[in-house]
Amino acid sequence: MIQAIADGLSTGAIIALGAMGVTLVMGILRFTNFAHAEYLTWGAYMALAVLSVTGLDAGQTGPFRFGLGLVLATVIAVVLTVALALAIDYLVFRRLRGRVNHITLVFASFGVALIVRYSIHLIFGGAAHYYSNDLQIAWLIGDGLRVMPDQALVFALALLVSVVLFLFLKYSALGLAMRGVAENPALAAINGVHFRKILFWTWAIGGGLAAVSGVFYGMTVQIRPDMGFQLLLPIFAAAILGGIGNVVGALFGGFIVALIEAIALLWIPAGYKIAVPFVVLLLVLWLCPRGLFKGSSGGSK
Amino acid sequence: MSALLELTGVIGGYSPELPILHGIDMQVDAGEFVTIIGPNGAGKSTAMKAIAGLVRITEGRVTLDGRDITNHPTEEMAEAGMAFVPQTANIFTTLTIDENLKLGAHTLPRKQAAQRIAQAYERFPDLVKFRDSAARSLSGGQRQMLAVARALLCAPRLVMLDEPSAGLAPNIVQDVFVMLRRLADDGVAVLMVEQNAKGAMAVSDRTYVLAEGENRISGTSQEMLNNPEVKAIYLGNAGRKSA
Repeated sequence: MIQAIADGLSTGAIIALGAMGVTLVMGILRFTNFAHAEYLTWGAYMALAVLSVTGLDAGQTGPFRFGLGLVLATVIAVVLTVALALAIDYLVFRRLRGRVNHITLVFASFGVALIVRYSIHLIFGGAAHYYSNDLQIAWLIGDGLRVMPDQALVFALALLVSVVLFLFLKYSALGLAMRGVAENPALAAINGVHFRKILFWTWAIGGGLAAVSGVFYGMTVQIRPDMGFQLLLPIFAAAILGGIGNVVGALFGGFIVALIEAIALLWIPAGYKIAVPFVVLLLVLWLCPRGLFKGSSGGSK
Repeated sequence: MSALLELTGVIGGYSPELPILHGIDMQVDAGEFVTIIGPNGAGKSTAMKAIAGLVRITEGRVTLDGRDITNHPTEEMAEAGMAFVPQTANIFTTLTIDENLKLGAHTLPRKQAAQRIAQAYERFPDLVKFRDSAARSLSGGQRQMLAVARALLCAPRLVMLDEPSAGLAPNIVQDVFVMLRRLADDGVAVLMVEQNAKGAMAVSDRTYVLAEGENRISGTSQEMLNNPEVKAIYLGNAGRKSA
């Protein structure tokens, strides 16, 4: 059981980062972007491409398979993922925003998701890739608990990113403006908040979080074109569980979904793993539609 | 001398095929308190939203101090010297009072914003004790106070208010009107849409009556209070009929 909790916390950190980006976009731009999970894949592959093109090694720092090479690759992957998110908004969502209903935007995001996923497939092929082929020795904690150093690092970094994002939204002028737009875009405009600026930063933060999440996920699993798609349901379950627009809620949502998934695997066959977040999502929508942390119809906390 | 705000033949609405305003003319001078009254569907709120850039103007012109601001982006309204308090959803309920004011002053340099917020608390001392509370916890009157305080932060030359008395107790309505009168006396032009026709005309300088998206009657508020047509339609026996 303790091992399942440790594994759940590690996966939960990755889900939480993706869910925070999703909830930010849902809260501020008021639509459900199903292409978000593909931004994770894109981020993971961009980091891989940087390592491949520059010939850099992912690096090794102490017990971690995460060195300067991967740090640099992650930074560039963040920039490229933000560029992708902004380009897709410019080419697709901007043309639809305010002219079509919410469902049309959601379907457009499904289309974008397919285009991104199969473009990656076309460029990089369907074979599995790794940032590093180095073997990693697990830390043995207490009586039989094994934790991979990369998992512990990912968990700590995800918490750090969450705290920074929370402080940014709570205390910075831009964060305040983003929360204002999330609650009432017209009143925010009356106050002189430029929607385009908020739009840019929402995609920048959402895309950046997706890229970081994708690289972290790529450190712990095989890098494949469908890796983001596998996280789609857990990410949306986490965002809805946490309450739409609630960044802290998404953090907890990510951990809760992953922990339930990891603990459920103690009793159910691994093939049913993908059904677990679906059941969580159904239960949340049935029992607590606004999420455990009370999100809003639009809003960012 | 030209008016501070001038609307000339303004036609517009939520869709170009279905205009709500059919050629509105209006003027507001600096430091003047002007009321707009009219029956439901007259286009009062739409006219105000059109000035604010929230509703598209298809024909006609809006100028502020002689500068054309027709279909000006709403985001640039504050910098142009205008403030707008909508009828509903005029504060950010999920933000604290302090955050509402900070957002209202966010176009100002940091030091100036802090000074203006301090002045807002001096002008509206009732808000001080709630500064760290979520705005949703405020009463109707306090919410209106916060909305006006937020609107004044950028020291506008013109403040537009859409039915500031809506949902308020009569004694609070009087306080709001007195506050707006003082504002006009301090040199800030006030343009107010109001259902409480009698109360609004009692404190304002001039009144426009709109009906079916057109100007119907206009004049000084004193004249309008004594105008038999206005009396019959809007003031009635009870002194307050839906305007």
